[in-house]
Amino acid sequence: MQEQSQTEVEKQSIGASLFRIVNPHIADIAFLALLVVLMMKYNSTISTYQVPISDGAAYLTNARNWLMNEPLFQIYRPPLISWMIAGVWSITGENWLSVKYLSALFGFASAPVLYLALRRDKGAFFALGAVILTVLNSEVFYYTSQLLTEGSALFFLLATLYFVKSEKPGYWFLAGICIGLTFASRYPIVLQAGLVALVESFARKNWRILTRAIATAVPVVVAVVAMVFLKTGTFQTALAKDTNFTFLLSPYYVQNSIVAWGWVFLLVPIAFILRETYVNRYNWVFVAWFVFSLLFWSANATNHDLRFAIQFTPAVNFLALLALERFVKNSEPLRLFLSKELLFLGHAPFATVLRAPMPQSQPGFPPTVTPSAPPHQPTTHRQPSLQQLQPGPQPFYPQSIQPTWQTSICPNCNTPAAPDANFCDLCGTRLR
Amino acid sequence: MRSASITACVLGLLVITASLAGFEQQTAAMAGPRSIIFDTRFVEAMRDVSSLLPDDSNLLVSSNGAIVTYFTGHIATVPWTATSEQTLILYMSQRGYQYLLAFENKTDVAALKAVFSSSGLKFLETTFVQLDEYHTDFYVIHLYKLKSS
Repeated sequence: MQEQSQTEVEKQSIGASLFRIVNPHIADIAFLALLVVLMMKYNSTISTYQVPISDGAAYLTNARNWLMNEPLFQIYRPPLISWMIAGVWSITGENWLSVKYLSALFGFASAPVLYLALRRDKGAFFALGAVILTVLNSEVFYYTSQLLTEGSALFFLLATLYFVKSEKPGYWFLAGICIGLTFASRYPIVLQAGLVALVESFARKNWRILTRAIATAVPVVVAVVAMVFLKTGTFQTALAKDTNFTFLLSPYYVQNSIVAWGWVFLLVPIAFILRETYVNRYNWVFVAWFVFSLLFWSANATNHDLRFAIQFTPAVNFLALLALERFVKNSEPLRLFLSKELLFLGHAPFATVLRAPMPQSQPGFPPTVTPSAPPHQPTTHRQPSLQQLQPGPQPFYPQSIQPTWQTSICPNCNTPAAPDANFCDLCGTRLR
Repeated sequence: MRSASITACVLGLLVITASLAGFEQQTAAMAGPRSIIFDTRFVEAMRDVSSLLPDDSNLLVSSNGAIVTYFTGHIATVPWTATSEQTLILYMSQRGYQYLLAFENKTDVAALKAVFSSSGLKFLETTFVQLDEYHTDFYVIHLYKLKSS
């Protein structure tokens, strides 16, 4: 009897130990499970393909022409995927079946790159959410399963993001190589990759990120252009009819946003009106990435396709999850939360509404303020902590550029304000 | 967390779930069940077409130019500027094309829809000789050669 109870205690102990090991890694385990599911899904889908789609056939023909040293079939096609196909064929012999998984490999590899890029600073669950929404997006999955450039362009763009977000200076050179390979994968996406490096350098006030990236990106881009030029006698990035841009932006991507990104797109506008989106410099690159890409593709006069939205789908999902994260981490009454978080609600009409007393059924609002209390010693226990205002570790952002809201408190309404603010965002009271 | 915030979180999670829920159906719908990518007999048909064409000959196709080019090894062009049977023949003679690969009831050129319809193809036989006909899973494909004048 005693031995039996001892065995049960040991079992419980093993269970507890296992839980202690597994618990911090639940998101990681879920991510690995996602990879397995994704691999099976790619395999089951691609194994049914008997013929490449039209653009894929063009890349195959170009690959054959590179290999046989013949004129290219379509000279405006980016060369990287054809070079990779030619590389495989030089070993296996020409057969389209031997390369039909090639693009999917990059689509699949995009998942861990995005996960690792976000996990370090936003946490494993946030990263997992962003990856799930990205890889299980029907546009992303379908087009990366085809023999197209979408998979490799997405992979190298995300690799650029990963490397520029790194603290290791050596990685910034790799970011430049990835920018060059993004160019070789799909010409226009190089603008997104370059923007990622530019904005991240600006956000971190570290221009060495950009200069080092440029130092390696330029030779790669020049080499790609030179090779295509030597082969074709010209360098063309697209058909002439597809390169007309206009200031009259097309509503195509906004109208089809739910089709392209799913219902999650509805959360993106919320992220844009939350103050945290802009206060935290980590987010700037995603804001710029999304806005620039949307404007760029919307500015094209004639050529609109939802698959062009694939490369900035991670930015869309990041912003959507950012909005959700703010609500998940909030522990305050919604009106107080909104009064602090919404970007434009510091202005008088909104502030008046938000400062109106709550019904008695919700005690604790508005927060108790002692008029005689000095400005820097708020008496309310509802004052947000630094952690609430700055969720998530941001190790490589210099402390000098971190927001330090808690150092300035409005004496009238007790709302935190930026240390250099002259007026309270909420009630307009002069702070200094 | 207060109830309003919980509600906001639940709504957010519902939105995410809704985004993921349609993944399978949307992905399947993107290609369509009768897309050329699922055609198991297409590659074989293109091999047969290739065997009938002389080396260095190009051909005109009603659709799927890039795919035909890859699998036949002959550059296949879609006659984008042709608008009728007459302009199609003119297009071919001016550019030196001898062969036409017609996908029955399928063309990328809207103006040639009638020409490549089942009934329209019968009229082509006055100016073309049909070399062969291929039945794949989803297409009936006719290979024609322009009659010498």
